[in-house]
Amino acid sequence: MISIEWLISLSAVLFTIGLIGVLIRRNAVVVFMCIELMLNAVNLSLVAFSAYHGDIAGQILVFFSLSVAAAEAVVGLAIIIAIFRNNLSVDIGDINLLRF
Amino acid sequence: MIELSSLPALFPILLISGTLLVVLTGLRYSSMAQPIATLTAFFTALTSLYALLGVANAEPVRYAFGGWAPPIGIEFVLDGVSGFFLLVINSVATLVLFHSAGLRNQILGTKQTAYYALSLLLLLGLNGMVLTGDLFNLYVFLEISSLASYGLISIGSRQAPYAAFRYLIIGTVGGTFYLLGVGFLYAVTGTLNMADIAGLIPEISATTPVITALILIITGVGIKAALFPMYGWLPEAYTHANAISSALIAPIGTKVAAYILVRIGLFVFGAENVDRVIPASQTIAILAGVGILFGSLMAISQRNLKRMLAFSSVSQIGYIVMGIALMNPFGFAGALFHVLNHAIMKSALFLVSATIEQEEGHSDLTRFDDTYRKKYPYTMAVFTIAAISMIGLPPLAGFFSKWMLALGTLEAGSWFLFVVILSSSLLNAVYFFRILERVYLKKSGQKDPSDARFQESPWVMRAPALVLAIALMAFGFANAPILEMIQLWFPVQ
Repeated sequence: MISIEWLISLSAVLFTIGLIGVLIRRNAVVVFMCIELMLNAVNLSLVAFSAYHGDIAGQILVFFSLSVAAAEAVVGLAIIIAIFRNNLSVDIGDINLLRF
Repeated sequence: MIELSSLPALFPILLISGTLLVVLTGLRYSSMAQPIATLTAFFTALTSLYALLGVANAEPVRYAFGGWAPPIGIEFVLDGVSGFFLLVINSVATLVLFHSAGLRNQILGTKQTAYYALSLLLLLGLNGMVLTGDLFNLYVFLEISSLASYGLISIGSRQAPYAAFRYLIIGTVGGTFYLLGVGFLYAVTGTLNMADIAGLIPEISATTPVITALILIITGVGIKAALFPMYGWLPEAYTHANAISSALIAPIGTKVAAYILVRIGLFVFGAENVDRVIPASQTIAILAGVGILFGSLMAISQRNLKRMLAFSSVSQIGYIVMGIALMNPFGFAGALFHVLNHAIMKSALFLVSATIEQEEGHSDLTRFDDTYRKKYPYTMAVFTIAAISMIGLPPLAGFFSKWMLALGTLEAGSWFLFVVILSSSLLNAVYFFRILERVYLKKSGQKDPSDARFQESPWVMRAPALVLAIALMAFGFANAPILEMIQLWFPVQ
């Protein structure tokens, strides 16, 4: 049996990779994938906690959170398409998206 | 009459049926979308009024969905605080949706069905967040309302999809932080029900996972509330969204994030446990104080009316969050009363800016002059009342919430925050009097008086704005009973 520390550490590593990606990557689609990575890291930790408690509730939460993430992806990609139609680019630097 | 015990379930049912009705009739008659959405919001507002009257001085009403008792099932809890927020959200939304009748053809065109369905979904998410008694369910409603607002914001100028994408990225990161925090609480307690967790918190509040959870939840909710260093999405989103979307989202969107702070900070954790290990409430209060000054200073330097109002929102959210973080009855009463006042003032100001943008085709402050007063006397009167209330002059409602907040800072012995409140009122005066001076005193260059004819907006747009202005005066005079009622809700440890 893998102990909970390993699962939590993996989830923390994935979450950090996702967060760094959101902050430094310039392509809108890649930024989006990094967000999904963060969400899935959280899902992983929920499953780990659920296994730790021997309680099924945490795994049910993950189903809800997956469907929320799917809805998020639909809206996000739709907006990316709208941006691409306007600009023919999904480079965040080009469109000054994160300008102060 | 409807039984109070099953009332909480009525809110999501009303809004979901309204949304379905909008979508189905919209397939054929897209012009029916606006009346249906307005009526749905109106009935939801009436239900919230009934709910608030029922629970204001009584025990909370708990409703377990599907008959499953709380630790397994999801329960909705209706108490005084949630009833108050419901009434504010739904009545302001009703007025804004009513007002949009005058602009929908020009702004939305063929997208009316989508717009009104999304606005009802936004209301559904906000109502659900206020009512739910389950931390994970709160996350789901948080995402429902956020997804709806991303859609609403991306209908707008050419820049709007960028602003919406930026909001989506920042908002989703905020949601993820919140979910991770909830995961930690679940890991420690094995439950997600707020009442259960509140019972366990005194024993476990000094453990590392609970502190981590608290920090993560506050960060996530702070992003949604546009608390000071995390406000980046807000000015862009409110500026580039179309006039009626920003009028709908600006007054109510960030308020509900403030509600989550109240619920989790004061009710789940409680005033003592929040600060047991880390100085969480002082940190939030100081960030909010810096945000108040920063938002006001940025608002002064703007030339675009909507952008100025957006930065003013950053500052006003600071007041609300600061009141919550003071963790005493005065601050609490001031924060909740300011939620009501700011929702009314901001919606009135955004409705005025929508009217001006529609009639004049711009919202550039430097082009305002006294022809505006002659052309739109009612609209400008509403603007003046809302602006004066925003600055905080008695007898308008804005004064009394600031007064309570100031009392709260004194009670907490925080002179920095006291000075912030007073000086921020002066800064508010700078950016609002700048406009009032132009509108009432600056002579326009043109001699031709025919340009300054009375050309006020149609009554569907004027009436909601006037109702909001009258409400500001009414709540100003009736402040004592409201504040007394709110102070009763402060949780006693």
